[in-house]
Amino acid sequence: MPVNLTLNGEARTFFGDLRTSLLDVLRQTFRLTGTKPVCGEGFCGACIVHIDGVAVPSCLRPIGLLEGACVTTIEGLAPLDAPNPLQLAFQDQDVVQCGMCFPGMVMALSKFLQTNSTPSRSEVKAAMIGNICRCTGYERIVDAVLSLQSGERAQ
Amino acid sequence: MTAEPRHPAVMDYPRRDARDKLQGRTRYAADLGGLETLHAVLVRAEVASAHILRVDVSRARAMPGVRAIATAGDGPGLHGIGIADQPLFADTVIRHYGEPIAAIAADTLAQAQAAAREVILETAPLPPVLTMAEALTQGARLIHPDWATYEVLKEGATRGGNIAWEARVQRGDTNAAFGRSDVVVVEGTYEVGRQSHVAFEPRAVVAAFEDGRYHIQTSTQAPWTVRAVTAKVLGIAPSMVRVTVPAVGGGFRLKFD
Amino acid sequence: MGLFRLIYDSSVLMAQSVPEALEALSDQDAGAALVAGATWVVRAQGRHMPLARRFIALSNIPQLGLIAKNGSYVAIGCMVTHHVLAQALPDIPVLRALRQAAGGSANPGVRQVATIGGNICAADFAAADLVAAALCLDATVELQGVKGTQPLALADYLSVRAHRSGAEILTEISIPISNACSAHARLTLRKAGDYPVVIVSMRAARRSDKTLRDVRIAVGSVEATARRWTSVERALEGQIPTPAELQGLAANHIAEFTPREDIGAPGWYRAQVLPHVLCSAYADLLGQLEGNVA
Repeated sequence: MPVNLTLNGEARTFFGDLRTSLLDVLRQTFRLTGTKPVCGEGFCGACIVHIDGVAVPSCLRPIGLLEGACVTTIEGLAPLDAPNPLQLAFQDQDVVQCGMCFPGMVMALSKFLQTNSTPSRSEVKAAMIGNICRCTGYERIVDAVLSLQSGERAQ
Repeated sequence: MTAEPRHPAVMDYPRRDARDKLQGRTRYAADLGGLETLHAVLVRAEVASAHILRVDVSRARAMPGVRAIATAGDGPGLHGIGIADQPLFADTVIRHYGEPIAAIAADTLAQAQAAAREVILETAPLPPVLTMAEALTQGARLIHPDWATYEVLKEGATRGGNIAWEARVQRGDTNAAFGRSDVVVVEGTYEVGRQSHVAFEPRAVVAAFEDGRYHIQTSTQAPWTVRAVTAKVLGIAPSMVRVTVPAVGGGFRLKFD
Repeated sequence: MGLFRLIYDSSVLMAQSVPEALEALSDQDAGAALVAGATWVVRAQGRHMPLARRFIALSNIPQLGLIAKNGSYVAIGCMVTHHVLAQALPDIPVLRALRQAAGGSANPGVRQVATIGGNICAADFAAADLVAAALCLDATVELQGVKGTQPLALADYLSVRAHRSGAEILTEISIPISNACSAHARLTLRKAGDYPVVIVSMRAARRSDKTLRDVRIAVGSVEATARRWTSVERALEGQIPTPAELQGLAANHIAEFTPREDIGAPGWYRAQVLPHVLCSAYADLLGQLEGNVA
């Protein structure tokens, strides 16, 4: 039975083993490689996408459970020529290092900021518990998230 | 008395690669393999030390999706640091746990993994030498009985028996420092497990033969080493190997070999 | 084409009702696994286990995702996620340990999908926060089989869950409401995000003389299955020691545990830190009791 879903605003259909993780479907079937496979266990956050508006690790979601779901990946989060404010803050404040954690970091934190637009430092850190940065650039990430509150980006 | 430069260097340009990384557009080595790419697994030794009696890959080769299997004969050269003592695949002897025995390429990773379980490996146990202290004791079994015949890649180090390469660093007068009355010397031996960085991007390589030479796209911090080692084990000229490095998803010195 | 359809059609069943799921589960040849949040089942291969050939998913059965207060009980559907539990559990002091456990387990993304039913049914998952929390709250589970439903004390279910035969689904968790207070403490080796090496959930009420009554202590992650620490419960009954005194008392009872060894921590370490984690749960509990004079 095929699975129909809305992926980055477009209707897409998956044929295959329904136990396959959404992560594998995104990367292998649809070749959307912005979602990163790292731990495969829900610990690292590199594969976080939005499913029906909720930020979840795609490695833990069998595609068969997602009939009719609306999935947004890092590729579909914002137009190429108009990154969202969080992406711009990360770019302008020189936060990005190896970059592997950022698709998940952006997906998790942009959803978090929708529910809490004026977080404290500790709330930002709590929201990042499921996102590992192996370059250990955490403090700069937190600084950039907090910089969005004033509405002006650091120079 | 130097005047202010008229055009001081600007150091705070944003990283050129930041935007693509933030939009999920950056292709790391592990992102390259589409449907046109075969997937490979290594069959590794599950003992630390043994004679290899037989490696039979015929059943694995017949498994669904399997396109090629490489074993010791396909990469006969030796490589190493200082001296060339490491084979690509174990041939007659297994010298460490996890030593590669064969590489299997198949249409999918799952097919390659299934085929790996069909490789027949027959071994006869050899007593392992597991620690450096053990390897240095008088009469310890030689890990490389043929060490004297190995090619020396960098002259000048002491070697022999189980010592492949010995280098010493001498700086300052340690004995004088330890002899000072205001210095307390604390001695102890501490053991820790092996530490390994866990870069977010795994070790990954996509290799092809194109335009008359090998093209290796890999996540590495040492492309020249990859080229030299590949040429050495395959017994070909380094100019036959082209190595390119996509964005590296974390190196931390892990990807220096 | 026939074979193609057979293989792919059967790999995930989205059950529309509990009886439909039970019927599918009864088909022993299918090699089927019940899937709640899926976070444990999909990682089978990481545990060197085969992935179940067929998933029977419960997420299309709305009533399994409800929380209801029925008189003196709170009934929690098995499909209630950690996130929903932390947000929507009634704000009653005795339920605080469960709210804390649900709001602090794993990480935000996993809490959105992992469920209380999954936590309780994953027999080989020793570090389940919700199991310890529910255990200290005297939870009862409702097991629905082909022949009907059966309530079972959670403590009893935990001791037999790996060996039960026949198709059944744990549909609901019931927790009695009382005027006790509760607290949940966990120790992770990183500051957060990894599995806790020790979990302690505590519940108690106070007598008029301020001593403790109805004490429950549940310990998770130390042994393979969470369990009550009854000797220390008894020692606390009618007493009101300081946290430091309790830590000393608990240290005398550590030998009752056979701590598990795994890649997360050695057994001796789990046993050694257990009294400290108990102490922090207890200090939290005392604060609750102080602020909630019954």
